[in-house]
This record gives sequence, C-alpha cells and structure tokens, in this order.
Amino acid sequence: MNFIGNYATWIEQEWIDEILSNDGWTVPRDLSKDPQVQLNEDERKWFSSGYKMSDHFFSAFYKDDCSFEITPPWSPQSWDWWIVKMMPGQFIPVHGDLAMATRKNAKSYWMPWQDWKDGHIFMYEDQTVINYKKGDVYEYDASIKHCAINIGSVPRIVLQVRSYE
Amino acid sequence: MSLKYLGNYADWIKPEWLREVLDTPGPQIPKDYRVHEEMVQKAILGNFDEDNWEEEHKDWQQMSYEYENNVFFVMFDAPDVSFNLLEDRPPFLEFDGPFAWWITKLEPGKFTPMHRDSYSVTKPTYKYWMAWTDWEPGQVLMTEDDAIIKYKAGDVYKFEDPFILHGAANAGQLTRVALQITTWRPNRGIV
Repeated sequence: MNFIGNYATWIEQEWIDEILSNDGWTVPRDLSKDPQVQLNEDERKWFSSGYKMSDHFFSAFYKDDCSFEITPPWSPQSWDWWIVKMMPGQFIPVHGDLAMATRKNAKSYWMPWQDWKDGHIFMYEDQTVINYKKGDVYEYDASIKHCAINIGSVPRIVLQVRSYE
Repeated sequence: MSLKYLGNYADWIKPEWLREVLDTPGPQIPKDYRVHEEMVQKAILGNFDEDNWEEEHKDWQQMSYEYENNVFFVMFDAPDVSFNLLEDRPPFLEFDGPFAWWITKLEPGKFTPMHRDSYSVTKPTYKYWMAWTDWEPGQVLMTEDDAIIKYKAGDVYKFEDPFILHGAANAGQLTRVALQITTWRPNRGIV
C-alpha cells in the first residue's frame, strides 16, 4: 500500500449523506441481476467456503447510482470508480481483482470517506490498514488478495478507483 | 499496543480438542445465547443468575446489529465439550488461581462485534487469547489500537488492558478457532 496523500477537503458531505441514505447494490445478492457480471476464480471460492449468493456483504454505488460526479483529485488518466458502504457486521471476503492483472498499467486506489473507526479494517496481503484519516488515498495492487471488514458500530464508506492506460 | 505476545504453546493443544470443536456444531451466539447461558451457569454454578443475564443481554442489544436469531459466532464452554482445561492448565498462565475459559469458532463470514468485557473489577485481572488454528488471510483479532494477523496455532497474546474494546472476524475461507481465558467472569464464578 503506497500512501498518495490526503484529499479530505475534496469530499463533499452531501456525497456521504447520499450514500448513507440510499441502498445501492446489494453485493453479492444483486450480482445475479446483471448478466454481464462474471465472478472470478477467487470470488467463486467464496461460495464453496460457506458464503451464500443471497448474502449482503456490502452495498456498492456505481456512477449511475449517484447524483454526483467523481473526478479523483490525484488525477489518474482513465478511471472507473465505485463506492462501498459497509454496515456494522458486513465485510467483503478475501479475493483478488484478477482482471486488474491483465490491464496495462492498471492502478487501484482506496480512499476512506471518514476517519478510521473501531472495528473497521482493510487487509491487503499480510498488511492491515487502520488508524487512517478521512481522505487518505492509498495505491495498491488489487490483483493481490485483500478484504475489508466492519465489526464496529458505524457504517464504513470507501471510494474505490481503478485507473488504466 | 494493548496485546502482548507471550509465545507459542502449540504443543499444549491436543489435536482431539481442536477436532472436537471443529466437528461439533456448538451453540450459536447470539441466537442460542439465552438457552446456552442458562445451561452453562447451572452446570458450573448450580443456578442461573437471571439479573446478570438481563444486564449482559442489554449490552449486546445496544450494539448496532440485528440481534435476535442472528449468528455471529459459535462458543464452547466447558459443559459443551468432553475436555476441561481446568484439568490441563495452560502453561502460559502467569497466576496460580482459578480462571474461566471458552472457545470461539468463527466459520467464514462470522465475527465477534467490537465489545468490552465487564468493567466491574476489584483486583488485577488477566485475559489471554490463544489461536488454535493457523492464521489465513481474512482473519483478524482487533482491539481499539491493534490488529493481530499472521499468527500460528498456539500463539498466545495477553491483553495488557483486559477491558479494552476488542473483536474478531473471519472474512477468509477456513474456520478459525481460538481459546479465551480470563480471571474476571462473574457468570462463571470467577471474580
């Protein structure tokens, strides 16, 4: 995980309010509604480990789900983004975003929209990310196994950005 | 940091203990909490402390989680298993007196929400956590200032502050088993 910088002043409170007050996509339950979604090998392993397709790991908000536009201030060239809302007791199991390994100069960024709270954690390979600040931006290799967990008492909101050449 | 590594005591863990915990469904918490607690207290203490239960129950209900009929984790107390660790005293204990023990089993996707143990303490309290399974990615023991990963079965950590906020989660693919030991657990007669 490479720390890029802090961009807290760029985050609008109304974005956070919108995410908190809306449902987004229920992952993985809603994935079956999109025929274009193909689970990768890591994700398929979830369901042989006891996780269920009907589970609610977290809520995802894509561009079409939000009233606001996102232009990351650290200026990746071409990019996709989505926002993850994890309520207390939610998590995303360990996985690698395997498609990232095949993209040319692909970069992944992770940006929390609130200061670190007890029970919130991002785990990447054999590292843990806690004690972060709202607006911190980390670059990481998303093809390497990672996961996130919220066993705290408040929702956890994170912006995910993928840039490609 | 609130967790101090004491060493590895894997040789003390009998394979049949771990096998029994892995193979036994066990009481699901909080779904089975009330029934299980009454059974354990009657087995250990001879009676069930209804008032204490109500207090502890309130603490859990105040968490921002769906509580009724939910399953966070599986918990084994002495009456739930065929072995009793009071007869095989853990070699890492730093005191001679009595202790309470229980085992938590977190299958993939299960967790213990962040919580504090009882505050009501009048004497030095010891609290330990011991992994019974090797760490795998997705598993973590957390406190308000630390996150423990990459442990081995048999690794023991002491809580420097036994009443610190703590919890655990398993977002991996294998079941995680851990032993907890404390010298402050009134509902097990340990005060």
